[in-house]
Amino acid sequence: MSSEPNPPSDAANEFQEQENPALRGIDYSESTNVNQIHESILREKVDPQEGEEPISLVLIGIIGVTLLFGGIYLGRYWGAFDGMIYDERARSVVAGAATGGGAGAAGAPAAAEDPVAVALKLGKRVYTANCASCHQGSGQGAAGQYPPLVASDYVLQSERRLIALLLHGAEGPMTVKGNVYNGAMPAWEKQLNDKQMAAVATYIRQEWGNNGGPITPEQVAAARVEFASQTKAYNEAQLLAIDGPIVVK
Amino acid sequence: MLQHPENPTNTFSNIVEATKPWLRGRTISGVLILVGHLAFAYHFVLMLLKFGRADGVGPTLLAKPESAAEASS
Amino acid sequence: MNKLTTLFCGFLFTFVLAWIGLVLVPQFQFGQLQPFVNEDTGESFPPMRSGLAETGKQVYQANGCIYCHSQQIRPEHQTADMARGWGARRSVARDYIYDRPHLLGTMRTGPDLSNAGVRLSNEAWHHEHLYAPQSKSAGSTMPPFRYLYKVQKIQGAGSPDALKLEADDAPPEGYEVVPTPDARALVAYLLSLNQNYSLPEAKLSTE
Repeated sequence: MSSEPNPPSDAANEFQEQENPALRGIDYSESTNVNQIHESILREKVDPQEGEEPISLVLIGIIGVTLLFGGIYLGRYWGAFDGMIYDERARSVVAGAATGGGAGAAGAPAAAEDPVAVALKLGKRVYTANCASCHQGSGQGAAGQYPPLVASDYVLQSERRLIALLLHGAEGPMTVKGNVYNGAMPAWEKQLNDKQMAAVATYIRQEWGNNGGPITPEQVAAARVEFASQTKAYNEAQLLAIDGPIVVK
Repeated sequence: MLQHPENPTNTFSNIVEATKPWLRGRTISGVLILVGHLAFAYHFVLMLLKFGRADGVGPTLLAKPESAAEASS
Repeated sequence: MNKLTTLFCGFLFTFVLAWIGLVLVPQFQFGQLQPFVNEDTGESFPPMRSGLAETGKQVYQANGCIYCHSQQIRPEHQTADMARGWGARRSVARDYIYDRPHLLGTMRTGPDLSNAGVRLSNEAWHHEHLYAPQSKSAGSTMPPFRYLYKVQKIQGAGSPDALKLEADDAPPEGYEVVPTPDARALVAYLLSLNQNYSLPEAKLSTE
């Protein structure tokens, strides 16, 4: 206890031996001045009791705004809690199953569009999903590892060679635009169907300043049959031996 | 130049390069945390086995209420 | 302590509410998922893995691959996963019905592997990559998994499965590196990772 204007008297000292354990440590007995004792008690605030304090208005406001925001968000994006709707932007439960799950639906082609333009759109998607991780979106590849497709002879020259390469892959050292690459190109025979392979071949022949001609699914189908006996990846010598355009019988 | 990770022109190998300083820092901090854990475990066992200075009360965690009040008043 | 009963009821209520939202409702939504069967071809998706690939999944788990590699393609409108060439569509719950435990992963210290079997379909590449990651991927932070391979003396013409290694990674003269059964299983598993099929709830962007 801080100030003691009245030093404790002997009588007061007896009170230090406090029997009541609840008052142990509280030196009310330091002073016999009643006013002073009362002052120290009056300084203490009333202990808060549960259920007796009003909630602050600001808190009510914050909770209200949060509930409002939450309600609007839930209403817009709940999708009826349907486990099959994966696109939270789907506006209705019925449409949800059709439009949910990605931007693929947005690319549904119109009836009478130029087939090359359609192929280019599909080709770009196939390229992004399968080829871009190595040859990069810019078609530049990676030095020493993945050859570039920009102005590459393998892309722009013989269509037969390009499709054979796509179908069965390549292994071992290859020289592209003066640099040697010793990688392993995977085979896409099983991963891509004729339409997809034709689309991606058309895409790489017409993107990044390349000016090759398109390749049709029929050509891919014919090449698939022609090179069906090839089971392993090609090496450079075998690839260079394949030449010329694809002949569709 | 490094761009936002969700920008696809930022190749994955660029991102791997960029995370290397963070990975080194994570290793250092992991070692520090491990040392802290070992120190903690060691002292905890010592406390349970009541090693340390034998001055009356001992660790507050294990003291009984009356003996704590006697020591303070 | 005051109002102990009320406090306990509060705890119980909060816990039960969380459990309903995180366990019960998803069980109703996803608990009975069946594979999707294509009526025309009779194929069922997701495809079941071969026995060797299942063993490979155990090897994948045992080696903690999940700590650096994820197996989930996130939506196109929010992330660049698809633009990075990791998949032709986002992953959905049905892709993982045969994965117990699922290996979704949380970190991409290394690239996502949901479609590793599609874009990295060369078996030899995987063996060489596991033995010496930096030889296949410059600047890679992946640790080599050499204990999955055996260095043995070349006998006769040598093993057909011997890894083709360069310079520093190659074994000494007269020796070759061959995969152990664990390595074969692991690579079989990696080659089986394929989400390149459409589902009614998620169509491939390449269709």
